[in-house]
Amino acid sequence: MKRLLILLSFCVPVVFFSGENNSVSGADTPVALELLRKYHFSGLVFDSDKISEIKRDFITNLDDHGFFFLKSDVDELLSVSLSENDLPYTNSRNAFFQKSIRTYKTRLTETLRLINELCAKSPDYTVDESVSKYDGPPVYPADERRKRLRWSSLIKFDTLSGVYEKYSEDKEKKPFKEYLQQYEASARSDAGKRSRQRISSILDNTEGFENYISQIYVNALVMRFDPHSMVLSAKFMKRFVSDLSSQTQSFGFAFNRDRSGDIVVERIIPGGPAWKSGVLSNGDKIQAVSSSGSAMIDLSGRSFNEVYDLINGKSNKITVKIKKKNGRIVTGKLVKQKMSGDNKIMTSYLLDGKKKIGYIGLPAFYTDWDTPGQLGCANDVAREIIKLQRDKIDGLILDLRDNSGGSVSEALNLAGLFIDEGPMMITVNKQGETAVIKDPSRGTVYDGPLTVLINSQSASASELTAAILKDYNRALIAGSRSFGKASMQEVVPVKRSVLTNPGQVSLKQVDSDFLKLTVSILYSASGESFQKSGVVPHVEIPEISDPDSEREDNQKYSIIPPKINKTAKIEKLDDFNAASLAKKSRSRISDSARFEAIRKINDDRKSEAAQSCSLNADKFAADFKRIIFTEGDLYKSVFAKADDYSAKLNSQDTELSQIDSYLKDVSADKISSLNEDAVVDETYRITLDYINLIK
Amino acid sequence: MTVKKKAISAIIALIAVPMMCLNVFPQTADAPVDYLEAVIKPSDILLRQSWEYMSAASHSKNPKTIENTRISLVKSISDYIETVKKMKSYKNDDALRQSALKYLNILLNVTKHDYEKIVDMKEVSEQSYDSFEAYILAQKKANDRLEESSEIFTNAQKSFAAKYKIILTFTESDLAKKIKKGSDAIDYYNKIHLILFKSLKQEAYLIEANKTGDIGKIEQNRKTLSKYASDCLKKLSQEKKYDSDGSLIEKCKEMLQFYKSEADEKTPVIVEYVMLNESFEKTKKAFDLLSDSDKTQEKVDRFNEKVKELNAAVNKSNSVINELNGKRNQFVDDWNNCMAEFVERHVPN
Repeated sequence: MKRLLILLSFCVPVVFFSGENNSVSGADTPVALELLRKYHFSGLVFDSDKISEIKRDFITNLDDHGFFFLKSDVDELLSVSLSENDLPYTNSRNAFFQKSIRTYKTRLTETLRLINELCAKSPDYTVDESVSKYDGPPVYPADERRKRLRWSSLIKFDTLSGVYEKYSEDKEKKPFKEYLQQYEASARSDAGKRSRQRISSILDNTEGFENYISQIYVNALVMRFDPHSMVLSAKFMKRFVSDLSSQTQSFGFAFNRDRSGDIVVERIIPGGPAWKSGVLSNGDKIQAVSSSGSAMIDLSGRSFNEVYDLINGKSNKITVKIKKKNGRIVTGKLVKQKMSGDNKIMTSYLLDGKKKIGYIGLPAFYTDWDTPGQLGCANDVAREIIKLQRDKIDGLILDLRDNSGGSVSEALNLAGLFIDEGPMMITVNKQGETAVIKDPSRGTVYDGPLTVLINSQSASASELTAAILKDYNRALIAGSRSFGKASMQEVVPVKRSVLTNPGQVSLKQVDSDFLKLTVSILYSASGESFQKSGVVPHVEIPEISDPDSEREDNQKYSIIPPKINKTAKIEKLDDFNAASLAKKSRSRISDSARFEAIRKINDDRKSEAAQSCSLNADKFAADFKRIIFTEGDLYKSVFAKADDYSAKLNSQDTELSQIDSYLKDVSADKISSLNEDAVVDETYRITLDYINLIK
Repeated sequence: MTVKKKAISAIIALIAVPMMCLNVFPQTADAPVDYLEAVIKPSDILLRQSWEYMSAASHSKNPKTIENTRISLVKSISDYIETVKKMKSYKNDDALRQSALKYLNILLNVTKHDYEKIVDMKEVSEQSYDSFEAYILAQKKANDRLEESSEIFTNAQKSFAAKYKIILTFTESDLAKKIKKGSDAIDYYNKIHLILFKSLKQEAYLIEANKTGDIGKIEQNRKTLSKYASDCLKKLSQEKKYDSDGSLIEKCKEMLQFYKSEADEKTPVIVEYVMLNESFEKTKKAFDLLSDSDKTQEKVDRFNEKVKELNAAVNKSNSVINELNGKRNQFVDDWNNCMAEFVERHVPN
């Protein structure tokens, strides 16, 4: 079989970064660089090695799968010298930036012509060729002929995917070839249109082609020092603040485009429509949207402005198709609402079985950023704990899975609900100065058995909470190793005045671009950092996971935490035999059909077969079904009803739900998902063992 | 309404001032005696001014008088330092002069409350829960350093005398006896006050949490207050009367019992109201959203029941808050009076 290496990310129709209008037209790069030098944790030094890497990263960000540049272009661009003094793109001596822009524009224009040519006639679908998944550094085509082959495969793949959609929607299930015959022309035309749109959104960017490229350039400079520092344009910040404002009607979430061009949910307002619906989580990728019952519109290849208007346009109702972090594709409806200041949006549940175990799920560490003194999520959790205590719980599960973080002070407040007093973390800044941060409030709200559930997407503030509670022997940590982000960022305006007077900045004053930069690293009281390594649970519970999901330790330029000599004395609670709990759990998991199905699903996703897809019409449908992870019978066996408990709403809210029909609906959905969640089911059993162990 | 506190820190510092009169008996009329006398003589003035300060701090009602005596003491210490600085070593033997300077500088900073010049405040802050605890810890560490340096200074005098064959005898003057008696009383008062202080400060955190309505912080601080009040009552039961005077113990016990009841019985009533209020707000919002046809009699009854419950909880919570405020003011007044009378009785005038 002719096997063609195609640099392509499966499942994601977008294969290259396309135009987010996140321009830095007002940004003064020299000021941004000075801010970075002064405040960034790593202390920026632009030596020749780093400058070479920045050049390469910039080219990669312009064309991360080798669809535009030829190898000779890249070699030539990399050979253009660039000194530290000439780094700002505004500098006329920065020949590298000028030449890159010219070459890029030429290649994009040529590619547009190539796409037109390729889409003009139907290709041969009987040839045995395939596309493979490839996540490494881009490999650029050696000549025009190879570039043409690459594009021809991409358009073929995209056309076949379009036909597959018709095939999968039709209940008749005729052979794939029949659908190909019927829909090939229109699917090919759509595929061409999508590809041209992607390129046009760069070339005809509303902010101007050069501004758009300069944004990519500045971020290549900034992100060389860690993956969490970046420039945020004034325009982006304005949208971000307005999307999350309590004054406007909105769906209650903010989104951005990531490096591979996907539209990613960045923040969800607690209590807003997106939050309440439970459809969206931070980090979900929005693939398509439809408003007021119209057909789904694929977001791939569209400019950020277009996407913004499609989502936040006039319509008050939208349906979104999203890819969850575990790879599941789901659709959900959202209705716009005026955001109210009502932050009491959390509810808690009881897992009622041999023992009554309380359950509180926290999707983000929220606090009201713009209103100092407003209460955050720790207060809401405390309230739920008191409700659960009135229901006489024997133990508590705090679910921090997929919680990508948020306010660190809320994480300390939350951990403080379970710890009497003492040091919680040590921060280290650029100068190596350490500061011990203590429990903000003496005393506990709950001192009974506590299990904290984490997974690979529990990041930052949620990992910190788990790390503190683990340090103190205060909680049993279950789930999977967490993300590993122990760096703290600050957002500052790109203004010269900040260099001399770095005061508190309100995000509402959006009259300049902003720089999000990493200023310190967190360590536990024992002087260890979970940066990169993540928090390792006492008891490992497997879950359905996306093999492509990122962790801090596989991110480029992730900061390696320096060793510190500082520790802070803490009064630990008694050690407990976590190994015995892990052993019991392992034995249950190995006997469980549900966990066997999870293991199989994860194996299938990682398997060689899931890494490539044939472009031969006879084989395409079967291969494609495998690589997009269609939910089949295996999934059904994972989501089975738990035997050991039955989930229900706490008593106080049960009473409320008799008047509040919205709460009744939302809690009914949550109850059924708690009853079917294999990980929660196992956590319940582990918690029972834990209670018996420590009593 | 605050609990008054005497100028305790400066008075603690006095304990470390060598309170004995030093009599120097030269075996020969040689220069070492003059040198030794020159180094230690100004301490007589310090002793007198320390007494004036202690007396003013204990008996004067006028804060300006107390502050003036403290400023005089600070000035005398500074003058003393200048005098010793200007002296030279004795035949290249500088141990006595250096130990005097070290002691006097620490004494000066303690009297000026400049603790950061004596102790590592970052370390102190890391070891303390809040700025008050940090202040008390810093004060303790500073006084430890002062005592230590005072002992070094005294030993240096002895070594110097032995080396140059000078006979030193220590006699206790009447002034030193008065200072000792006053210090003992103030020491005792400080001990009882510290027992009370922990709960007193904790109650302030609880009141603050009540104001913000942060249910987590109210619960955390309530439980801590209960624990502290119990621990302190236990500690207090081990304390003896001071010279047959049990007034401080008695008043302190009453206050701790008040805190215990505030934490265990009264604050839960306020918590109940906060919880009910939150539940009512949600219920009201949901009820207002119901269309007329959805407002069944059952739902209307349920809502009215909630209104009734909330009203009862409001009344109960308000009455508890008023009761707590009234009692707190009375107890604080009583404690302040009791403390003033105790100092009046036991610190010589």
